[in-house]
Formats: sequence, C-alpha cells, structure tokens
Amino acid sequence: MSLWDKLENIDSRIIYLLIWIVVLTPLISPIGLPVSISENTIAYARTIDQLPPGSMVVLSFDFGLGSLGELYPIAVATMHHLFSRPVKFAIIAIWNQGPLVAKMIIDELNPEKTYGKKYGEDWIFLGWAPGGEVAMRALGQDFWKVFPTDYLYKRSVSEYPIMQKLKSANDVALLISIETGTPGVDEWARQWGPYNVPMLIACIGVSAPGVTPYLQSGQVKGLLPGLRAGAEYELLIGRKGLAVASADALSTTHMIFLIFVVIGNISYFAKRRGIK
Amino acid sequence: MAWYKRIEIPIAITIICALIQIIPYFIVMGPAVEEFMDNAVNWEMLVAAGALFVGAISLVLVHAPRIVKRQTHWQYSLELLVLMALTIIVGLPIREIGLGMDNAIFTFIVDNILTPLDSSLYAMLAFFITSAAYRAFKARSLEAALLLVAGSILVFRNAPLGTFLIPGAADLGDWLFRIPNMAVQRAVIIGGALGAIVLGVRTLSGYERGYLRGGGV
Repeated sequence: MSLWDKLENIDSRIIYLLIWIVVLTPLISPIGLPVSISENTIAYARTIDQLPPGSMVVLSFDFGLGSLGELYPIAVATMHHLFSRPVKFAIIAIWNQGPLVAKMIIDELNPEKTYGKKYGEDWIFLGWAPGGEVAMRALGQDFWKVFPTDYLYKRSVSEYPIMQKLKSANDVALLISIETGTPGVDEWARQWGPYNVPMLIACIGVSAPGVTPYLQSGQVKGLLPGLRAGAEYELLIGRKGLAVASADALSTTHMIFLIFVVIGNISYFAKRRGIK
Repeated sequence: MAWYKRIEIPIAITIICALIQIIPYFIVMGPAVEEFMDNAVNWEMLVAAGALFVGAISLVLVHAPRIVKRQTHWQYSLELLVLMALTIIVGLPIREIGLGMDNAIFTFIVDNILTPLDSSLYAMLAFFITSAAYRAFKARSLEAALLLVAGSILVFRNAPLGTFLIPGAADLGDWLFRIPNMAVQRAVIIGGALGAIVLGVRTLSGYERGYLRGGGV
C-alpha cells in the first residue's frame, strides 16, 4: 500500500479519536482566541435594545433537546437580554420539547430573584401549541384560544395582567424564534407575515442559509446562526456563557475538519496523477 | 363495498376542509364563515395533539408483540415501553398528587436520560461529518471544486481561529452567505411554493391520492 493509499484510507477510529482530543483539550485548557462580532449579531442585539419600554415580545422555543449544544447558550443569552430590558414577553413553543428547554433556562436564570421580574406581569410561560404551522396561524388570530391556561401554574390566562395586552399577533412588537428546522422561519413568515411582526431568528448552523431571503426582505431583523454567533452574542451583551466557553473547541474542530479534507484531496490527486 | 369505505368520502372531506381555508382568504364571506374557519384551525390543532396518542399506540402495537414473541432485542422494546409509560404517568399535569414537570422522576428522566441521549446523538454528527467529508469532499469535478472552496471558506468564517488567521475570510464568507446563497434560497422557496400550489390543485381535484393508504383505490 502506497503512502497515498494510506492517507486516503485513514481508519475512522483515528479521526474520531482526534476529534475527541481537539474538542476536549480547549474545553479543559481554553486558548481564548478573539471572536469578531458580525453585523447579524449586532442587528439581533440592537433590535432587542431598541424595543420601546413595555413592548410585547413572543419568544418561541422551536427546537428540542437534541439541539441543546448549539442553541441552549443562545436561548439563555436571549432570555437574559429580555429580562434585562423593560419589555414584556411570553414564552411559547411550537416544538413539543420546547417547554422542557424553556423550563431549564427559567430554573437557571431565576427571573424573580435575579432580575426582579414578576411572573404574569412582566413575563409568562404559555407552553406548547400543537399543530406546527396551524398553531402559528391560530396564535396569530387569538392567543387566548390556543393557550386558555399558562404552563407553569395551569391558571386561566385571563388572571394574568400581561395577557390583557396579548390577544393576537397585532399586539406583538417582536417575535423571536429559536429553531432547528421545520416548523420554523418559513412557517412563521407565511403565517405572521400579514401582521408585519418583525422577527429575530436563532438557528443551528445548517439552517442558516434558508433564513437569508427573509433577512434581505427585512422580515428578519437579525440572525444568530449556530454556536459561533452565540459566542458573539454573549460577548456583545456582556454575559459570557457556554458559547464563549465552546468557541475554542469550535475552532479546533473546524480546523481538524479542514485538515482532513485537505489530506483527502492531496491523496486523491496524487493517486490520480500516478505520483508514487 | 360499504358506503363509508368509499374512497370518495375522504377525498370530499379533504376538498371541503381545503376550500374552507382557501375561499375566505380571498373573499370576504361574513363573520359566521370566518368564525367557522377559525374554529376549523383549532380543530386541526386538536387533531395534531391527538396524533401524539396515535404515535404512542403505534409504538405499543409494534413493540408489544416483539416482547411477547421474544424476538431479537426484545429487551430494548421492553425498556422503551416501560420508560414511555413511566414518563407519561409521572408527566401528567396533576400537581395535586405531585405529578407534572416538577415531579422528581420526570425531572430525572429528562435531565439524565432524554437530554444526554438526544444531545449525544446530535453531537456524534461532528465525528461522522468529519469522517464523511474526508472521504467524499473531493474536487472530482469543477462543480465539486467550487463546492469545496465555498465550503472551506465558510468553515474558516465560522471558526474564531479561521477569522483570526485570515481576517478576510469573514467578509468573503458573509458575501457567499448573503449573495449567491440567498439567490439559490430564493429559487428554492419560489420552487417549493409553486410545487405546493400544484400539489394543492391536484389534491383538490382528487388526482393526488398519496395520502390515502399509499395511493388509494
């Protein structure tokens, strides 16, 4: 077996081991590489910062536990940002595991103690709306019909002051969807487009290309694609968390990925040209 | 054939439900029709929620016979059904008797079983993608070479180390993302929308029967 054959057929286990090493090493011993902040991240944070006091925001958890690695830091940072601002917001989920993730973050942030935000006045947790795109449409028409009770205490939403200001999409100043795929931005744009509600999208890296048309059209005001954007956002709002901690591991895994692609191509061309 | 088994019935239900949604969108038909339309949307949500129960029943129908017949890996089926039943019971939203999301067993299942398993499955992609890219991501043709170059630029753009080593990668990556990618995505969205219209017309006219027992008769 020639050198090129060996290079073209590296055992998968060696690749897995190297990935394992390059993920773990920077997590144990961070390098602290600088993270430049992109326009999209600035726009995402600026949109929240520029909301007038008392504005109503809907934060939708449109992802499940599988995407926690990429989206959990963004969701934590977004909720921290919202709690830090004088706005009101309702947490909903179009994905059935969304409430589980939202509950984890609420427990982690402890809004009443940390930010002095009162449940039912400043924020509310409404839970999961089944039906995907149909649920989005129904929410646009009437929040009270979709969520007759809240998720945390199972009390009628009519008992909460915040819900007096949230009847339909016409009352919403901003929709934030943290999402993995379908249902996601396409469905929100279709169903909430007629209400002209501006959107912020945070998504896993592979979903990001599909959001660009909505960015260009102005329907989406800001986009956080994946963990790197999460790190940028954490730095921007001054709350370093899991995404910043993972940024070095992100770098090393991407680089090892590129190195293997280069090795694969060099060996491929060397063999094709008959180089011994 | 009994009348209720006739293929025309589900087709008629589909057409009526579709028209209820489509016609009032274009024509103002009065509050009574609009209220009916709103209610129909709520029914759809109920049906979607009900589909979860169908899924649970389906799992029981698939896995229970495996356990009874002691088929290969029947232990996994048993594990699945036991955990499913346990999660459903302890997760029922009855706070008065200590069930629901704050229940200790439910929290344990979510924190120590569901979350690590789901996250691990997703995280394993890093290993598989690297291995697969190393074997398949090769410049075998001009198109493949273009894909390779564009992909590599975006990998550089996405890694803090990449933009640290080559600052220009950020601008180039953003340009690829904003211009060529967006043009293609628009085409995908428009193509998908046109396809959906065609599918809708075929369904309304009864030609599309894929949703009826795999084609219907």
